[in-house]
Amino acid sequence: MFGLLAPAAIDGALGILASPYVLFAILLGTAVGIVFGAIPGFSATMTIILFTPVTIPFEPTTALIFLVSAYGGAVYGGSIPAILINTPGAPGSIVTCWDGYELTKQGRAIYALAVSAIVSGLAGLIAATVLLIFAPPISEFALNFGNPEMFLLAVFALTIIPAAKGSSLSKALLAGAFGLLIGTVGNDPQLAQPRATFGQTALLEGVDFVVVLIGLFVLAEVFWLAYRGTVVTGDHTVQRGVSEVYDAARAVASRPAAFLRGALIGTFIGALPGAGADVANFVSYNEAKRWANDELADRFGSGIIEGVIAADSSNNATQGSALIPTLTLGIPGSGATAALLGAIALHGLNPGPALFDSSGDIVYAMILSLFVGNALILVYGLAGSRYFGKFAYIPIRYIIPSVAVLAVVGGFAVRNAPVDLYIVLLFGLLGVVLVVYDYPLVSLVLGVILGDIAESGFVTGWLLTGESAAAFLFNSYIAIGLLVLIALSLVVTAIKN
Amino acid sequence: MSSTDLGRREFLAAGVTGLSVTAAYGADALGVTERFDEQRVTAIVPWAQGGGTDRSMRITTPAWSDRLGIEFVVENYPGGSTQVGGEELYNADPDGTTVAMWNMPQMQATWLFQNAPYQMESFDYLGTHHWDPTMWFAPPDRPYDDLEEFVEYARENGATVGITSAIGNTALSALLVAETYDLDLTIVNMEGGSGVRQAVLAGDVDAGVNQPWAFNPDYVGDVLALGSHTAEPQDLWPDTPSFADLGLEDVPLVEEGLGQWKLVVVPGGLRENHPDRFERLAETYSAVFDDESFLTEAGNQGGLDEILEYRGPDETAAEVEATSQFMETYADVVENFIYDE
Repeated sequence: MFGLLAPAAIDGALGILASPYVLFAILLGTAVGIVFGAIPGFSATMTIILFTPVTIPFEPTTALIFLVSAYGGAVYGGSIPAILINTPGAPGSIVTCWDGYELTKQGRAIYALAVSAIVSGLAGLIAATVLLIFAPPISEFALNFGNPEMFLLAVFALTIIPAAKGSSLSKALLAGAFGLLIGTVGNDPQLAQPRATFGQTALLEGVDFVVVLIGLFVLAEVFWLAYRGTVVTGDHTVQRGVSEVYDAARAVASRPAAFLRGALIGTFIGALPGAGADVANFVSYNEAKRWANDELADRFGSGIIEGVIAADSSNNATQGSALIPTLTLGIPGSGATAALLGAIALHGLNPGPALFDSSGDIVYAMILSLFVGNALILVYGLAGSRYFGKFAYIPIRYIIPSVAVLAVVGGFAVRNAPVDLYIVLLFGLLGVVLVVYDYPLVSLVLGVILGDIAESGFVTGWLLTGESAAAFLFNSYIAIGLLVLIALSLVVTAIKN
Repeated sequence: MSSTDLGRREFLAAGVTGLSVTAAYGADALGVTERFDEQRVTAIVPWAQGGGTDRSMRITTPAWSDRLGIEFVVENYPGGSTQVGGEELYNADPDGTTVAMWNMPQMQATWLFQNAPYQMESFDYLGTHHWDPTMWFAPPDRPYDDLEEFVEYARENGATVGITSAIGNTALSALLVAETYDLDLTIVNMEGGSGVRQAVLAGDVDAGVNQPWAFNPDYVGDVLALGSHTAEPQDLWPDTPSFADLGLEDVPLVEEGLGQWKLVVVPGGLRENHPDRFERLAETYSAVFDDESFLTEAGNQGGLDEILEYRGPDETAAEVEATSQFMETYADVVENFIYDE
């Protein structure tokens, strides 16, 4: 359908990148993305949506490179509050909280932030390389990932629920089932008939999982912080030295397999239409735990650096690969790329098979800008980690009101619906209750995120395969492979419990 | 001073705040708030960013703003098959500061099949934007070349057909073809244009129903274009026969043409209560279609310039009524599909 690398277009792209305006756009875009990504509720999707109108007066190449850079920065930025205040800035950073925040509580926020910056930047570079070289064959492969395969992928990700952070299996499953139930609110995906909307028009679109996320994680954490009175727990002291950054570099260098596994999982999942960083970081974390020896596996969630590496190497790798179906087929791989698709079209480019032929130099300039942008994440992240890290340890009388305000603003900004503010409050209170009774919050969020993908994949796939269980489950070799993974995951869980 | 007394700074802060609030409300009460020209116009899009309606609105507002002299802010309200955005428009003040780009027959479907609180009469209509006919596509390896052959194939084997939404023009086209030729079609909502495109490219469906511009004309030659639900062929996918060319006139709405209109709608009452503002909005909107930069932008959007079709307020209102009538005529077809399923 389309060719591999085009040297002439790459040559033109390098010329574009040499422009000081374009380089400035990358510098600024990455910084803007990091800042907005770090605000709870302002995901990469919202960052792109917010800044698209701002870029309209600019020349398309500069504008699109700015937005692509902001996208990468925002995915990384989401991990900063996840590590500092147990508050994922974006859905792709939920898992980062598990070990990242535990490290912060041990006084090692700078160490965790520096590791996050290193693996985010490097994973982004790997995904950019894959996009540059393998975009055409991967986009064709992604097309084979149909509805049954998306359903099975969601089920595979759901098997992580029992593994989530050491709660009892029954409580994890119950919280996950409640999340799935929340995911059914809104118009059903086939016939557009409302379910459990209670007359609220805004709920026709369902309960947005970012809103649930803000309530459960951000607001509930504000309540807990007020109760605890301090971030650091136990006898730990806050580590502030530059040696934390060196330790971080050594930690990543001594775990190349863990880093590569996360980056490759992120690259693979990011390329699938409909799945992004929010799914990738769960799968990556679960795989890291599965591949670890028993002693290490038991320590996941207690503040080990392997957990941060698994989460942040996967979420940033989705950026480059999510652009593959977006640019080559015009099919967005995630919410952020759907927003980017709109921006690309708005700037006069027509995403699809002819894009590489008609605007090859611009497209390759966007791809090459990912290399600069991800290198910048490394620079900004490492240089900034010592300063970001101090935020976690400022007096909580400043943290609590500022985070609470951000939670409300972020909750409302998701879709300008006042009802979402009540949902944030409701889930904030529910989050406290669930923690008191030892129900894992993440299982609930995972249910909400995956419920939509699973339902849509199941209903559509079931109809397309003639309502035959055999045809559905054995739809392709990919489906069979996913079935094997699901079976393995369940067997391991059963044995461990 | 007791501990509850205000300090000087606090007193000043409270005073300034109080005066500001009083001034704002007082000005509003006395009718000295900003004039229409000094406000911004909210442009509602009832779909997510990046789709055809969003792109159409965003390339239109700059040229419109130049002529109107007022800035536009595009806001997306996706959800409920456009009902969320529809209610946002319905609840807006009819003062000229809110417009929406909607599409029909999706618009009519929200009040016919979803119990939306508004009706056709709840809005005023500024003008149409473009018309994208309903078109059938198929994976390239299928044993049929046009819709006539597809009908024969489906009669023998049954077939799966992907549509973009449960209650729009693509659903109606699939249901009308199935009913006319008594076909056993499994009609599957792929939840959007890109879903249909992906299903056709991957060969997951036997046919997909979409619009030629929405499908993306860059795919001409990569997929089979089986036919368009019209009497005359259309321009974007050359060599694609119309239903009439294929002798499929028995399918309803071939003569009228079944497609998707994009149109600009304002809250009802604007035309009556503020005729000057309505006229100004309508005139400046119509002038957009002569704007060179807008036409260039439309050309860059995969050939949108070729399907632009502006009609004025009265013609648009007539088109809305005609579409409402045929949607009501075939309401039972859609309802049977929804409730049987």
